[in-house]
Amino acid sequence: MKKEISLIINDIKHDILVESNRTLQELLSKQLDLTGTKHGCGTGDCGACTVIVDGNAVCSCLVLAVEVNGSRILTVEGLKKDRKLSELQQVFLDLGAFQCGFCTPGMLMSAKALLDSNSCPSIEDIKRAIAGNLCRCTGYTKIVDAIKTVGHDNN
Amino acid sequence: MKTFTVVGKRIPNIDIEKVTGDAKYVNDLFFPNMLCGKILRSPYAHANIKSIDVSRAKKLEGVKAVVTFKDTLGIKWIQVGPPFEDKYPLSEGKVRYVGDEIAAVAAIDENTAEKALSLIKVDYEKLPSVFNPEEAMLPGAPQIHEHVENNISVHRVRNYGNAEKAFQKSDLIFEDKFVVGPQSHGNLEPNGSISYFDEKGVLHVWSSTQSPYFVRKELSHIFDIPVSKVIIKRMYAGGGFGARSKVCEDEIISALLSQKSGQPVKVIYSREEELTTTRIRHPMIMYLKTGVKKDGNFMAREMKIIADNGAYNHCGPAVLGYAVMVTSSLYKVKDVKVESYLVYTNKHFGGPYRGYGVPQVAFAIESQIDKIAKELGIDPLELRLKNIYEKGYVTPCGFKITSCGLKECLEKAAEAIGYKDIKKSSDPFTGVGIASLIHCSGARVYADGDFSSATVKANSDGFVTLLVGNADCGTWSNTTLSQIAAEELGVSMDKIHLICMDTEKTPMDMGSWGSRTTFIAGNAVKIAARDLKEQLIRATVKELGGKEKDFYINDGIIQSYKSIGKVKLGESTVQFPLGDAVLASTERIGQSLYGKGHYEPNSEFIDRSTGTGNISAAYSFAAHAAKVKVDPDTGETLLEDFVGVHDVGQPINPIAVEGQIQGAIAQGVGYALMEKFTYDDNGNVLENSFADYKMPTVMDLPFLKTHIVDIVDDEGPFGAKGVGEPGIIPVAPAIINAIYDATGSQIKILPATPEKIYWGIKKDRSKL
Amino acid sequence: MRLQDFDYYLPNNLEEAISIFSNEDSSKLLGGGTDLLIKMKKGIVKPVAVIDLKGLKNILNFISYEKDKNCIIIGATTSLQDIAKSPIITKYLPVLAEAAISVGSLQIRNKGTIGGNICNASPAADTAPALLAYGAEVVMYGSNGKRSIPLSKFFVGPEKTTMGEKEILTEIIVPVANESNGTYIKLASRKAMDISIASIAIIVFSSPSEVKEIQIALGSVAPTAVLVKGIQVIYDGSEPLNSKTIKKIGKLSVEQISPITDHRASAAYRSEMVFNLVCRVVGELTLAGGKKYEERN
Repeated sequence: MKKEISLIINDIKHDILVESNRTLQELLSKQLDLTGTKHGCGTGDCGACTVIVDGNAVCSCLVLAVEVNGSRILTVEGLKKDRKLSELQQVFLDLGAFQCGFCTPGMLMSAKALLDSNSCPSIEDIKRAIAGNLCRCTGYTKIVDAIKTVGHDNN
Repeated sequence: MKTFTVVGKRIPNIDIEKVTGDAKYVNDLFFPNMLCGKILRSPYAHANIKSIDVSRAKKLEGVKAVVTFKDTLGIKWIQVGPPFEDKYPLSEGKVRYVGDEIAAVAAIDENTAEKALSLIKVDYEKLPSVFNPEEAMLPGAPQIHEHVENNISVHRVRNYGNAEKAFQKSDLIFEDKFVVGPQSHGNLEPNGSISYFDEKGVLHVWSSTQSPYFVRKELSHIFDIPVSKVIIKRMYAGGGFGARSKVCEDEIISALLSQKSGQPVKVIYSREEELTTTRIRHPMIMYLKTGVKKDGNFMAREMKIIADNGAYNHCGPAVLGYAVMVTSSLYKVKDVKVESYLVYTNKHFGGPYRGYGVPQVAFAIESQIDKIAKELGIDPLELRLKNIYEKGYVTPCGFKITSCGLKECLEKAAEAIGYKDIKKSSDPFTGVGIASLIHCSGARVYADGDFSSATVKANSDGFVTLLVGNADCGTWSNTTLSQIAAEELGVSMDKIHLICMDTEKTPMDMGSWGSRTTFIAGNAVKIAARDLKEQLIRATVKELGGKEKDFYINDGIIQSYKSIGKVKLGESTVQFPLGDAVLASTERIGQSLYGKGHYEPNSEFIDRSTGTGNISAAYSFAAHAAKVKVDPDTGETLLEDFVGVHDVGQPINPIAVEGQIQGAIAQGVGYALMEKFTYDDNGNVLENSFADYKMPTVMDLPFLKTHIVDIVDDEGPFGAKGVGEPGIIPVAPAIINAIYDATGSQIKILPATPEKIYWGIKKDRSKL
Repeated sequence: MRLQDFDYYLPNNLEEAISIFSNEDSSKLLGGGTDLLIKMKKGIVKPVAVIDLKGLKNILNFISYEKDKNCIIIGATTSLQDIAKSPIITKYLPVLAEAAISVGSLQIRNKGTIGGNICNASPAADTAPALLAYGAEVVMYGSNGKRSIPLSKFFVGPEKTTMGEKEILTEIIVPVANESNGTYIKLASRKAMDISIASIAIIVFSSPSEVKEIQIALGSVAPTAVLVKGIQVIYDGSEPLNSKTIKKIGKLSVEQISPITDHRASAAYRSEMVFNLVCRVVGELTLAGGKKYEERN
């Protein structure tokens, strides 16, 4: 079954014909070439596919594309501002908050959702916000550091 | 310490696309006419295949290829080489674990491919299976490979010195059994690859491999085509840790499917396949016996290791071999005997994994040291310091220690965790533990050798292209190798452009494993940069006059220490832009000048009769300290603090080094406390998702502290040694020792789940 | 691991939803989808139709405090994160807020609903013990109209409830106890993203000076979440609680569970955890100064 849906992805409106069994993750990476949103498990257990839907971080592998008709979606590709890295991306880069980079898009989106709702989060807030984003490379220390740094700068 | 301009600096990672979402991993590539490949796997742990009927699958609309053993050349994987080959690309008529590959299909989409798999009919004859290596060794146990009696793939006895005599001279002898379970690499990116046999018969493979040259060699062998007809193109890799340091099933199977269909085929594992069929850290049962003098001097060590191979050898013989060598090399003990068995079982099989057999044996040795310390009434840190060795020592298996910061590491780790205060503290159920490590910087464990090559190209505009065959699987080697080139050449980082790993374009490199990249590929890059620098200076001298030895390059400008003729030092005429030197050189090709580098350390291949050899040209050291609080009512462990102090020689990039250590600690925490695989009676893995296979989340870890001690290794590039693997080794024993300190109860079976700790405390209390 | 094809419906009133649900033989309701989509991907359920309840937001997604009835009504598709962060819930039903925030990860809580957590009837559902201990009721709609039952009569077994096959859970009604104190403890291998080995919700209802009633509910230690019965027989609130009585309550709790041994933990461990944690938490909530459990031994 196919359905016409309309989404605003990274500030661009898309009218798309999509199959009902297509997840948002598949729609983004396979249909719209937004491959930054990664597929790590398909069951919401790793967070690599995290995107922001209407302000909330969700695992896009557990969201049907048809389900979010009319929503505003932000993916990692939408983080840059005026072709420049956002502060969050820049700090991730400067402090070395990634290694293999596979969890990074999801991690950035969880961090972005947090900072949008809480511009100066505590360490506990940060940990809770990214608890659903597994990283096998970094031990999280530099990631928490980076998000904290952006939070402090916001202050 | 020598001052550098680029090396040792906190330079951000050069792969900026990792924070923009532009970094392409295998699954992000789409080709026209690309098919989806899926694998039919055994539902049984042990069975003969009586027949396979693929006719219905072939007829399904959208199916482009179905392959079974009959479609292969019937050639086994090489892996560690003869006589250990035991696996065909697809089952030859027998399956040996749940998940063994039987057939594969390529179809126009995933749902069609899955439907096709369900249409393949396999007739099995179930066989009895065995999951415990000690049971598998018994006479009468099910035989997993026809040619291997009692399922013992490897049995070696190594005598380093005379342990028997040394035990006689010991005052006290300690004997314990330690058991460690399997561990998944847990890469966030599932294994996968795309293969395409083109019209000319050239096999192109896009892979996240750590070692393109091993993959090329294996594929050329399995398909019986020249290596030049196999091109491995590396994508970004979502993790490595050894998981992809050899050819993987997906690479072979996608290639088979492409060969059959004539179209590009992408094979990406599901998370369940990833967790239940890819390599794991070898489980081991270890019987450890140590003889000591009353004053704490280690006299003799005897270890019997029974390593659970799983269904196939893969790198098991080499992993076990290295584990045996390190068993003799952890702390100063001259007389060591190690008996080791590698035993087949009907389970998913082991392979290389960060630490290569050492986290297992280090857990046993380091845990027992704390028991010895308690018995002797010596502080565990003091006991360790009493038994460490220094630069110049040769370990019983022949490791020549050319630089060693172990003492500094132990002392700093204790200081940073507040060791003395915690020991003195009366906090109930709070404890501190410490453990250390030795690890190679590259290892000559394969007959191929242990080398890397690099090419550095200077362009007439002053930019430099660095070509390396190495694979950055998240280790930052793209950045650190660029730093080495920049430092040696005297240019800034923004002038370096790196091209990595495409077997058709980049020079040969054995890959990113064995903590070898910084040391071995780094030296190759340094040699290539030096070669280029010499050519540039030669061209400059020809142009300006003066002597070659008086020239150097700084920030891309070739300058002289001395005045040349009448031209005074510092005047623009003794400053020659690098690009101009390229143009002035008669050696230039087009408008570029090439420097070539090849490095192979003066290390030794293991002597197979004695198990000795200096397999690496440098060894890294570290000490880790953990502080825990245990809840005696539940057995839960709160890891309050963790410190990793490392001797990595000169760090090329401290951010990268800290990152490697922190990430390794996190994996070690998982190994110590939560990560495990359990099997039901039929051999099915129960932890088949990230919900059940529990890797630490950010909530499970404290802020991971790291320190780098001030040591330089003379052979390493700018004094650097390897750091990729070491960090995982002492984590489990440091934590288990802290739990022992906190509760008085010693956990000897990993992982130390709350339940194990709870029963341990309860049992020990009941003895009181 | 890919979803098979299905028809997608987005009804915008309850009657329409019930009508589609009743007419489509193999249909499933989509709340947050954090369980349903996984089951569909694994082929455990293969619905021909998926009925998305998002169109019913105005009647299913809310939290309200009903002053006159002194209760809180929670719409079934309210997200677990909204519950965890709701000022009403954190004020009146703090144990439910604690339970809700212990579920999975933020991404899962943003999507997963309380109705889904209840209707899946997993023995490990985090909100179940909290709701049982508070004495919650559930409201269901079907082609025969509306009915409500106490949550304690809702669960039958793992993934089995007394809900009719074609009924839709719409609301959860939780009575408010003005003088209460409590906690939710989740014992698991990880501190986030985990399924409990054992979980315990304990609520102590009290008058300003003394404990009147204790309610305990347990998760992951029986085929369903369990509300411990008969605590009043052991302790009627007439005199101060002592450590002997607390142990009796612990024992009573253990008597009413039937834990299994699986790859997460053994039955014996689960039993001991119920005893230890019930004793510890009841003690901490009721004894002056929150004495430690060991001191009472």
